[in-house]
Amino acid sequence: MRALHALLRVLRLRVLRRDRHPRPEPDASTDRPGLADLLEAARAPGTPDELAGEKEVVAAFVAHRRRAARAQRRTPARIRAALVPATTGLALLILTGTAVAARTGNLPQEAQQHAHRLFSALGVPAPRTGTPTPDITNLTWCEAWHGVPGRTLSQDDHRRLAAAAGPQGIDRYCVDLRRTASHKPSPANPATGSPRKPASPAGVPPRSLPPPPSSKLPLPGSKPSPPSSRPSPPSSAAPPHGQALPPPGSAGSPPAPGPAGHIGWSGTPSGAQGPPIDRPRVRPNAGSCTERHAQMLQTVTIELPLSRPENTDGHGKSTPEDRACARLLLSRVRGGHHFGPTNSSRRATASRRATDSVFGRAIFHAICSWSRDRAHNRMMSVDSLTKL
Amino acid sequence: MPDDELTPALHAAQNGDAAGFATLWRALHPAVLRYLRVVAGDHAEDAASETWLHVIRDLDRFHGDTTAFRGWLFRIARHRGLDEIRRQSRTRESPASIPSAAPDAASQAADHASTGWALAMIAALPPDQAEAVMLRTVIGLDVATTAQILGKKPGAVRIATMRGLRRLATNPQIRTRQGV
Repeated sequence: MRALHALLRVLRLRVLRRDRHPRPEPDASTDRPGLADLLEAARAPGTPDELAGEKEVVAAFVAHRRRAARAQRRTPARIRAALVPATTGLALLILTGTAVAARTGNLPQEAQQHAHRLFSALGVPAPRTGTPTPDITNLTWCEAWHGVPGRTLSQDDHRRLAAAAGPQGIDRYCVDLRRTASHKPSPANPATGSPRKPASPAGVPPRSLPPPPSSKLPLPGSKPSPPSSRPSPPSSAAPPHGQALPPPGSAGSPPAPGPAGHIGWSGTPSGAQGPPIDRPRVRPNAGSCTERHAQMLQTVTIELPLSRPENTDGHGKSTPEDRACARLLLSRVRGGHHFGPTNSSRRATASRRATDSVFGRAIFHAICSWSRDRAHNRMMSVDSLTKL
Repeated sequence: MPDDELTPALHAAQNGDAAGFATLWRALHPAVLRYLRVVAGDHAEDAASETWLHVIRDLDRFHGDTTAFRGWLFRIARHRGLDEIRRQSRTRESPASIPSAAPDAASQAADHASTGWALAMIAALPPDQAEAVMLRTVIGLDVATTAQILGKKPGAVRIATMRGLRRLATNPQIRTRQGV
């Protein structure tokens, strides 16, 4: 076997040597008559015909070199090929993010207003004009705790309310919460820091809040309070919580019992008595406030400055719903809440309708605006609403 | 032109010097054209132009000495010549070649004394022998470079060259043209 490998190696080496040092081929140039002449003729120097295209070829060489020099100065094709899609993708991402932020109303206020002005037809909402009142939920629980009809307090809500109240107790907490909500300083008067109280008509001093009932709803698992301490359900003869407002000119007097005319949610006077007030007809509306507004308004039945003639139904009386709605609106005003642009956005329309329902269209349209925009874009300002 | 004289021209051409490239072209273009006359026949001029355009395009990426440059150049020339043959065979539109007038005796004698006659004799060989004779004997490439260009083994190149030369030597026209 070794001998065979050695033989193969020798043969391979011979082949390699023959390739490296080839034997001279049988060149017949010397011993073949005529062949040498033929080969010499084939090796002859170039004729002028063969060298006729020198200028064109050299010009092509120079032109190619110039193009190559220019191409080297430009951005390499690889970088350009990677840069263009990356830039396009980034721009697309930014545009998409901005569009989504504009559609969901998360742009900065100025930018959102501008986007809304340009693309409101595409559903871009107006900027949010404030933050919801954080105590509304707790106020809702407090109302349920105090037995307001239609409000129930679940066990979880009771637990949360107790946790929010802390050691001072739910009753005390609810009283403080109502008082705090009623006397928040207006941001329109930040220099003084004094709580902005709603204006009352001449001779009608602002009334204090009635003491909250000490009763509470029976909760599962909790000890119910005596039934005598529970608040009585609201009736037409006795409005709930004793918050009936005096008629104009009779400050402090309790409201007249019976089916007094009022502007309810529908804004339709019922049982008109007394001197009518010249005010425009309020839109009849079943949905003048949104459902969210209505739910929140039912929870707030604190007395509000509805004793002014323009805020009542012409008899100096208002329904609990009116007061509740006004209370909500005013609490929002005190919390620095604008009522949104009076344009086509859904949120603004709801706020406008709520304001319209409570304060009347005449007052609404008489409100000046902070905005320097066109009329249909005006916003109801804090100052304007707190002057009501 | 010897390789020692071509080396500076090659380097100059690679650096973008038009004069260096012109020197290269003047030294090598006749050989390229004659080789392509054997490979591509009447399409040798087009194939030679394509060859030099290819060289211009890729010259800055070439690395090697003059011998390697010769091999690279004739490899390109062979490929372009074969491409030209294929293209002309696909786009053959002329019905038939017009027969030229019968050459007179004077022009025929001049042709016999010219390079064209010698190339025609070589081109009459079988293609592998004709290419081997041209590259090995006329142009002067070594066996290894010729084998790389033709895609054959060195032994096959050697045999093809030997057979081609023998056939040329036994050609009666060549024997009678002794001393031209």
